[in-house]
Amino acid sequence: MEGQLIVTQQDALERASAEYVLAAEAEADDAYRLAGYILGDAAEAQDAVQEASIKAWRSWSSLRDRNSFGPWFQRIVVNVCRDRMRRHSTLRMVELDAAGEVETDDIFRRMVADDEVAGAVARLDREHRIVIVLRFWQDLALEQVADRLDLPVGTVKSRLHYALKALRTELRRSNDEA
Amino acid sequence: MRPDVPDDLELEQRCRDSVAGRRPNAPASLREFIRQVPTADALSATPGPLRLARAGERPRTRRGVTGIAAAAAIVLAIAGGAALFAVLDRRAESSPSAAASASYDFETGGWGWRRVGEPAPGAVAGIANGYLGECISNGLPAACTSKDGVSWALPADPAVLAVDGAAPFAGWSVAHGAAGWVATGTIDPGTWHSGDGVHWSAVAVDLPGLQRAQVQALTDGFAMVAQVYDGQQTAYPGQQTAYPGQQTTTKVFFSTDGAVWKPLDLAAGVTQPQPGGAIGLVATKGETVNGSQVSRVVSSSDGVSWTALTLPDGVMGLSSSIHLASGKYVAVGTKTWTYGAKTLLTSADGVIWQAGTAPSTWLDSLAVVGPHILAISVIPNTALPALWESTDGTTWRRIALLDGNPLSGTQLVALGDRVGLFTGSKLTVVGAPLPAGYPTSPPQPTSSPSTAASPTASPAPALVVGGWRWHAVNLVPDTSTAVVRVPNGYFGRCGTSMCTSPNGWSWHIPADPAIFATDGAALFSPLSVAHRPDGGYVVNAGEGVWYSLDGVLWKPATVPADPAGYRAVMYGASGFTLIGSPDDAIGGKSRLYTSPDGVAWTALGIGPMVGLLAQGDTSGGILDLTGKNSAGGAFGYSADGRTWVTATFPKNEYASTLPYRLADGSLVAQGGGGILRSTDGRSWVLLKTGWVATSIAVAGDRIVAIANGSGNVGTAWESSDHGATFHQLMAGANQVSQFGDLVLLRAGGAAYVGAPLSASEGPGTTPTATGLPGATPAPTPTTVPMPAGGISKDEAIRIATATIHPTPDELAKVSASAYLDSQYGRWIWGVSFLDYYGGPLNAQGKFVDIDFFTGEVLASGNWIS
Repeated sequence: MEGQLIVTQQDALERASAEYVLAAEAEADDAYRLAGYILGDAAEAQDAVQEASIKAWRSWSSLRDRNSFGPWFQRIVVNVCRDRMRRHSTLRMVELDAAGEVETDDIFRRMVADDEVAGAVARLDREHRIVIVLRFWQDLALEQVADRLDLPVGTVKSRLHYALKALRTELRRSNDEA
Repeated sequence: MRPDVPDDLELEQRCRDSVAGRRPNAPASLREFIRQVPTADALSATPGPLRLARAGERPRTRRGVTGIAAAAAIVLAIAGGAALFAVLDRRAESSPSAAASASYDFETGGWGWRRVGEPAPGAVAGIANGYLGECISNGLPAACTSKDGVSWALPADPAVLAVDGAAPFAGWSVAHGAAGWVATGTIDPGTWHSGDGVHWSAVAVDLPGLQRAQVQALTDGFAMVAQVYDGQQTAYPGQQTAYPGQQTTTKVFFSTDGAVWKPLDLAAGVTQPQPGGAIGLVATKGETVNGSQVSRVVSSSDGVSWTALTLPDGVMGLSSSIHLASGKYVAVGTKTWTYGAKTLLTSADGVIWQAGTAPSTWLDSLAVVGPHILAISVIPNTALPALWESTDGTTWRRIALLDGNPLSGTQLVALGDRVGLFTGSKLTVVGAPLPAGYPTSPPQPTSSPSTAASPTASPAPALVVGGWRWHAVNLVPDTSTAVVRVPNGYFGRCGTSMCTSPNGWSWHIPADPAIFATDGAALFSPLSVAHRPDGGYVVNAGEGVWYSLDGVLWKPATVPADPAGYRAVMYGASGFTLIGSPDDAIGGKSRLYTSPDGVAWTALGIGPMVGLLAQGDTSGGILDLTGKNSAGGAFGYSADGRTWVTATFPKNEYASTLPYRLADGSLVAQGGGGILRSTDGRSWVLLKTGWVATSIAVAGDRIVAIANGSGNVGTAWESSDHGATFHQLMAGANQVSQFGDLVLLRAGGAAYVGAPLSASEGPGTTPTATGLPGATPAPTPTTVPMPAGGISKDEAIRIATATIHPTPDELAKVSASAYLDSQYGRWIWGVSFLDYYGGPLNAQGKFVDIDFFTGEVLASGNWIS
C-alpha cells in the first residue's frame, strides 16, 4: 500500500512538473519582454523571470484553471518587478551613467538609451511605468491591464491618464534640457 | 503647448512605436532555468547555489537549491493526500488558532471541524437520512453513505440508501423537489428516482454515450443536463467504455415526476444550458441587436421561458446561485478577462445581479450553511487560500487559512447545517458553527472615537505647528478613494468596511451610524462628492452612485447606465450633474446626467470629453483636458459640470489635480511646474514660489504645499494670503493631500491631519514669517493599544512564509510585531526573516507587511541596514 502511495505521489509530481514547464516555457518570451520593459535591463529581467518562475511553481497547485496561467504568471512577473524596483530604490543601486554613451548589447538598455520615449518612460515612477508598459508595449486591453494589476478598470484608466501626463512632462523636460 | 510634445493620440502612438523592433525572446539560459525549477529537488543534496549558464552573468539573483526544493516539496505534499495529512497533523498541534475539543478534532474561527475517515467520498450530496457519496470500490465509482458527513459506509448503509435491483447506484448529482428526489451520474443506468430520499429505483432514460449528467429542480419538475458523446462509440474489452476522438453534445430532459423523462427542446438561440442553483437553469442566448450578434446569459425556472440576466461588466457567466433566507441571492460569477476567475454576485430578484464584495478578487468556492455564507478566496495579494465567512455577502471574516495547518481545501459543499471541504478530489473535513459562535466582536482597529461634535475640536492631544493644529491619525482610509466630509464628521472606505470619524483623525470601524448609515450592509469606494448648500449629498463611487438627503443615511441612486462609466459628480445652480467617462461611440465625449436631489437621474445630453477621474470634493469645479486645438490639448473648466469655459494656462503648464476653492472663492490647482491659481477658472497663473510643489492641499483660506528635497523628503510651505506669499511650515515633510476639508500630512513615517487654528485660539495662531526650522519637534504619534480581532502572530508568520518562502535558516530567525503603521495608515504585522546580522548597521533580510485584520500582504521584499 505504501509503495502504491509513493508511486502516486511521484506520478502526481511528474505530471505537475511537466504541466508547469510546458505552461511556463510558453510564457517565457512574453514574461521576459514584460520584465525587460519594466526594468530596462536584460539581466535584471532574466533574474526577475527566474524569481517569478519559482514563485509560480510554488503556487502552481493553487492555480485551478491551467488555461489562466499566462495572465497569472504575468501578474507574478509584475509584482516581482515592482519589488525589485522598490528594493533597488531602497538600496540606491547605482544606475547606468546617463551622461555616458551606452555601449551594450542589452536590448532593453539600448532601448532606454536610444529611444526618447523609452528613456522618458524609464524615468517615470514605477506604477506609471508599469501601466504604460502593459498598455502600450505589451499591447494589452484596459481590462487585461486591470487584471494584471488587480485594479478596477476605472483606476487603470485614471492611472494611465496620469502616466501619459507625466510622460509628456518628462518629454518636455528632456526637450528643454536638449 | 509645445509642438514637439505630442498630444494624447500621438503620444500613445509614439509609445507603441518605441517598442517596435525590440521584442527579444527569452534567452536559452532562462528557458533552461524554468525547466529546472520543478525538478530542482533532485539537486537538494548538492551544496551551494544552483548555477545556471547565462551570458554576461553578474552576481545577482542566486536561487539556493533549498528554496527550489522547498517549492517542489510543497507540490509533492499536495499531490500525496495521506502523506500530507500525516505531516500537517503534527503542525496542527502547535497552532494556537486551531484548538481541539471533545466534539471536534480542532476548532478555528468559531467553527468546529472533524476529519473525514476513509473511505472518504469524492462527491457528496445530502439526501433524506444522511449523505450520499461517490467512493471507489475495486477501481470503480460506488455509492457510500454517511449519517454525519464524517464517517462513511461502503457499501452503502441501507438506512440511508436502499437501491432496488442489482444495478450499481451511480447518481452523484441529486435534486429534491415536490415530486421527490432524482439523481443522475456517469454510468448507465445513470438516472434514479426516489419518493422518500431513501429508496431509489433506476429510471430508463435513453442516453447512450452518457459522460456526465446533472439534475436541477425546477418549479414543476426536474431538468437533466447530460453531456453525451455523439457519433460512433468505441468499446475496449476489459476496460471502461471509452470514446476517443468524439465530440460531446449537451442533451436536456425534463420530468414532472422524476420517473418519466422526455427530451426538452430549448427555445431558439438558447445554448449551453447548465444547472444554476436557486434560479434554475442557466444558459446563453444569442440575439441580434442593432444588426450585431450578441450573447446573453439567461435563466429559466421551467425550462421553457427564459429571462435575460443583467450581469456586472466583465462577468460572462453565473453558477451556484443560492437563495438566502433574507430573500437575497448570491452566486458565483465567471469573469471574462481572467480566463475562469470567479467573483461574487448578489441580487435582490435573481435577475439583476451586482458585483458583490468578495474577500479578494479571486473567489474559488461558495456555500451557504444556515445564516453563514462561506467562501474560499485567497488572502489579498497572496496565493494563499483562506476560508471566509459572511452573513451579508459584503463583510467577510476569515475563519482559517487553508494552508494545511490544519485546514486545507479547494472546494466547499453545503451539507445542511454543516459544510464540507474538499482537498483535491476527496472530502477531507466537515465543519459546523460552534454553539457559542464566534466569540469576538468585529475588528476594531481603533480606540473609541471621540464624541466631539466639531470636526476641528478634539480632546485628544494635538501639536500646534505654525498656526496649525496637527493630530496623528490612527487609521487612514483607503488612499485610492476620497474622504467625504458630512455634517456629523467624515466617512470613507477602510478595506472591507466603511469607516467614520467625528473629527478627521480618530477613525472607527465599523462606521458610526450617527455619521454614516445605510439601509442594510453597504460597501462602496467614494471617488468624488458633491453637495448642495442646503443639504443633500451625492457620491460617485467605484460601485455606483449614492446619495444622502440628510448627509447621514445613504442610498444607491437610480442612474441611467453609462457604458463608459462615470467620471465625476458636481453640483450647481441647476442641480447635480453626473459626468460620464469619454466614450468612443460618441466621439470620445462624455454623457451628462442630471438630478435635482441625487435620488433619480435623467440623461442631460453630451458634454465635452472629461478624462479625469475626479477624486474628492468637486465644489471647486473640474479642470481637465477636454479636447484638442491646433496647439495641442485644450483644457476646460466647469464649476457645475454643465457649463464649460476654455482654461488658459501659462506656457507648458497643465493641471494635475482638481481645483481647490479657497475661502475667498479663488481656485488653486497643482500644475506640472508649480501651483496654479485662478479667480474665474478661465485664466490661470503660476504662483511664484521659488520651488516646485510636488503636492498641495487647502483648508479654509490656507494652502499647504510640499517642495521635495532629496530622498522624497521635503519642506512644507504654507500660504494664508491665497498664494501671494509662502512661509516655511516645517521640514521633514513628505506629502500633503486633501482630506475632506482638512489636510493630510505625511511626515517622518507618520500621518497627521491638520486644520488652521481659528483666530481666537491662543499663541501661535499667526503663521510664522520665517517658518518653522527643522528643529521644530515633529508631531509624535499617539500610542494606541493593539486592537482585538486581528490575525495571530503565528498566522502572520504562516502568511509571510507562504508569500516569500524563506529558507529554513531564515525561518529559524523570524520575528513579527504588530503596530499601527503610518505609511499604510492601519495596523499591520511586520514579519522579518533575518538573512545576515553583522551589527545594527550591517544586517539584511526579508520582510512581509501584512494587514493586521485581513491578512492581506501589503508589501514584501528585502531589507538592509
